Amino acid sequence: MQPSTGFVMPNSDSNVVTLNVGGQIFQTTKETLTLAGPSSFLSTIAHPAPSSSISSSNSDFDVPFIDRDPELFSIILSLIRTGNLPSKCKTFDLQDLIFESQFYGIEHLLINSLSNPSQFDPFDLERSLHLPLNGRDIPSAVSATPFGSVHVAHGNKITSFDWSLTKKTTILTQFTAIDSLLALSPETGAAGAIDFSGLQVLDLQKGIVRKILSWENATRSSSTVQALGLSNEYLFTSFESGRRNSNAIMVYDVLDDLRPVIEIARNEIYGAEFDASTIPATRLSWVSRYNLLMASGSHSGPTGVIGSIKLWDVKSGRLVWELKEKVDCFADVAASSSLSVLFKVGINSGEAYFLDLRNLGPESQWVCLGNSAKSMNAKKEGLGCKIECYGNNAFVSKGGSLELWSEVLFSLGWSGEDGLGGRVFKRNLMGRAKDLVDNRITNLSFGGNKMFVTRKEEQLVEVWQSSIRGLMIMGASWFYKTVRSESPLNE
Amino acid sequence: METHQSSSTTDRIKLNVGGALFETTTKTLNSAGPDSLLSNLSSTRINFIDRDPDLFSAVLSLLRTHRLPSAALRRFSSYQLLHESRLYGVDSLLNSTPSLSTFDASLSSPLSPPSDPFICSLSFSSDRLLLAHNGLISSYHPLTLSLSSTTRTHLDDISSIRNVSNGLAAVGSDSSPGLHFYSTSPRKHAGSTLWVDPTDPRTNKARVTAIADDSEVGNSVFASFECWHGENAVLVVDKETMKVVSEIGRQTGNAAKSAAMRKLTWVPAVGLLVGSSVRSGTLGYSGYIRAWDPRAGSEEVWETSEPGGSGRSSRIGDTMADVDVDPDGLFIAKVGCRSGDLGVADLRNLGTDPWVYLEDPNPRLSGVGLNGRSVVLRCYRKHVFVGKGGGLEGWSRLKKEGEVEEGGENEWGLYRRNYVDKEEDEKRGAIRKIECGGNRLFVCRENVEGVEVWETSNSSGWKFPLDVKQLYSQDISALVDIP
Repeated sequence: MQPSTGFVMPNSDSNVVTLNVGGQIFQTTKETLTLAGPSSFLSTIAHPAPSSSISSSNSDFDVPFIDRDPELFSIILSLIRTGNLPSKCKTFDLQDLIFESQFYGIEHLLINSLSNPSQFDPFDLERSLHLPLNGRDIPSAVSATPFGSVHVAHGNKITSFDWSLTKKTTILTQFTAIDSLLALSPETGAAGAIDFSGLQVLDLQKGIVRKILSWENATRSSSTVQALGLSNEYLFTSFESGRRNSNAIMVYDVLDDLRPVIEIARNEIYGAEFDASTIPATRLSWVSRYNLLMASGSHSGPTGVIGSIKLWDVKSGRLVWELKEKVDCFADVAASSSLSVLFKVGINSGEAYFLDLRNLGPESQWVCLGNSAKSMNAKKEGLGCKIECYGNNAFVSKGGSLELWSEVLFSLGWSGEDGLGGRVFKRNLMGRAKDLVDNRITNLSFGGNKMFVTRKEEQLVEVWQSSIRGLMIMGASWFYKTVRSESPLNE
Repeated sequence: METHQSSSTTDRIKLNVGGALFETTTKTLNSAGPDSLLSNLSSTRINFIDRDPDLFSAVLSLLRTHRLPSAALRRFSSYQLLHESRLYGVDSLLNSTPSLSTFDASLSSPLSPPSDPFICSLSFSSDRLLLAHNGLISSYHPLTLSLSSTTRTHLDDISSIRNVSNGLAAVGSDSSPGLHFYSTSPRKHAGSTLWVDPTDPRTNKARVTAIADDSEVGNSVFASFECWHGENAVLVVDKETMKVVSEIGRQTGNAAKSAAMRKLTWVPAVGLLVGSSVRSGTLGYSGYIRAWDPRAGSEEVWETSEPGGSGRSSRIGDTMADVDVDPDGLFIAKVGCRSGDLGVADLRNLGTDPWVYLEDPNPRLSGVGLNGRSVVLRCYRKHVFVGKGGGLEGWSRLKKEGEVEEGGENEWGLYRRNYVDKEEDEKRGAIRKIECGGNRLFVCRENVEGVEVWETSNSSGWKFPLDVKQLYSQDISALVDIP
């Protein structure tokens, strides 16, 4: 949306719309009111139907009258004009603004201005607030929506925070402990566990089960959920039979009430033969640029950790590419569609690796971004490391610290000195000294302009967001105690 | 400000901003200069502006009184006020802070980037402040000091950064070869330059130790390159093509007097490039200062080196510990490593011994030597800031009676010395870098995250209580009717 500069020539006087809100006169243009969108009655004021009844007309001047607070309306009008909240809104409560924006039908503009993914700046993230979770369970899974609502599973409960992080609801589920959680919308989520049969689609506001999805396996035993993934069209679920001798990935249509579409990657394990490619997928992620599903799974045995990474064509159910990991197997893998790269953390070395998807072939190999000599390390430095991709960046947790990997793009004619196949990824440590916490990071999730982090032994969700303009913080700091100290100099 | 009789009715202009009516004069609207949108309002006869009236009232106050009302500063963020006044084209009236002085500066809120917050190098120019921290470049707005972007470079540690025109930053690293140009918006690598001498491939690995830029007059960046075996030279690089134009002052680097330059300053008023190198070793400090006219060729115009050189007998053993050049005051300043005294040399009158040593009777500071503390020197608009260990002192010139601003001659006898900081500031750590610009002083300390911001302010820090509630609270009970 391109905000207008707002200057109007006098001959276009008919364009000016006058509104009386709570006794105060406001004037704006038809163009501005149209920016409110079709869901708002303000846009119908701009283009009145002959027998419009949304506003009781003042008989004297024919000025539409809206019986609402004029101070709040001046903020709503600024939001429509510029797409951003004016800084004078600091004196108001975000809840009042949300309520008022819902009345005018422009909540989407408010969400856009406060929780837009385009405002995400990885280098400017700081630990800005804590969302407390009630009870004694620590969070086991976190999943956020594109505009920053977040669902957190802790024990047998799921707590959902709305986009402004000012409201929450907690529901009880049938699981003993939830292992996989995926946000389908701000109100619904899919949840599964490795010790409980079936995938449950839950209404996270009302606390009711919408649907139970199960996998019909050969042994007719229960089907436990190992991993979940989502694309614009499909929900992917990695199931394993209760006897742990078969597994598969089920694909459901998100747009058609989760109708089963296809079963892929079915494995039946007979006898003692064991191969890396029969390990059930514990991580599923959609690579939208190539229309492929990445599935990875690993197994720790007496000879070390083995694992496999596969790329599936979902439409045909065909295996496109597979990499079996033997040396320095992944502790975690993530795919970045916008970078066309797979990232992993080696379990032995704890170092990050990347694999270019642009020229994928049977010989494609990992490129180590750190000390590759550590790959034969016996210490398993990478144990428990997490990796997630968001935007053009990869985020790696090592113990309690967070690394940010970003690509440096060179101008033509300069290939860099390192000669890493033309691609250069560089690391930065996130957080200032006061942001550093020792407790190991257990989950990372991204939504809107925020990053959500959970840690071992902490019954809360950390929110990292950008400090730009100081306005984004506002939403939550009104309600939660922030962890930002005013002057780091006086410590 | 405006008197009633001066404005006839034709001069008066009515504006409707978002439904609120404002009345002002064309003279007020014109005071922002001919380029502003508001000064054109009377001629274009725009009478309705679809913007927020409260913000406009702050902009109009700025036009009327040439200052923003304090209430507006409290109510709106500086970012928003800047954005709105830029929209109306009156942002030239916003001046940040009073001019910086060494004897009246206080700490304001620090800048600290959220990732890798230890600052290695920084550069201020009229359009932005650049902070280099490890391999990142953060760009800040010069007035509001709000972060505008962070760019990741391929370097692991940037040791020199200079803002060059066209939105580019020139960076160099102690550990990686070449001079590199990065654009911060959009965030991308724009080009790189290596020192290529076909007869000596070792120059390809040369690193950059200092960068200067001649933004006012020319199109060049000057960078001091140093090979791993010590050989060094200053390369003149064209900003547009990012190609080397010429080479100045190549030397072997096998002695302190031929070591690579650690500081480079371009002085546009005299057309000189001044470079210096100061090292401390087992035998104490040693170094040199050299000046070139880059258009005349690669021969230096002037040179001095210490120990030896032009040193006078009374100053033996007091070699320079740091050097800086003031392009506004046209002088070179140095600090003696033993006495901590400030010596200055006029750039227009350099000779065999141009040094004048400043005397100051301030009893708090006189006779205090350096005692092994590190020294960082920085000149800014005829003021000299000296970081000694963690302490910060400064030299400023007394005003003479009847003197016009920006007087011509430097009269060194009128310079006085003061502590800028407080005793507790000194304890935060040794000062490593000082940068000045936009009437602010930026200080980086050893092992301290971020950068301190010092500015001169006219605010005493105390707010006069205007608490209406308090004034009327006693009377409220009388107003309420109790049946």
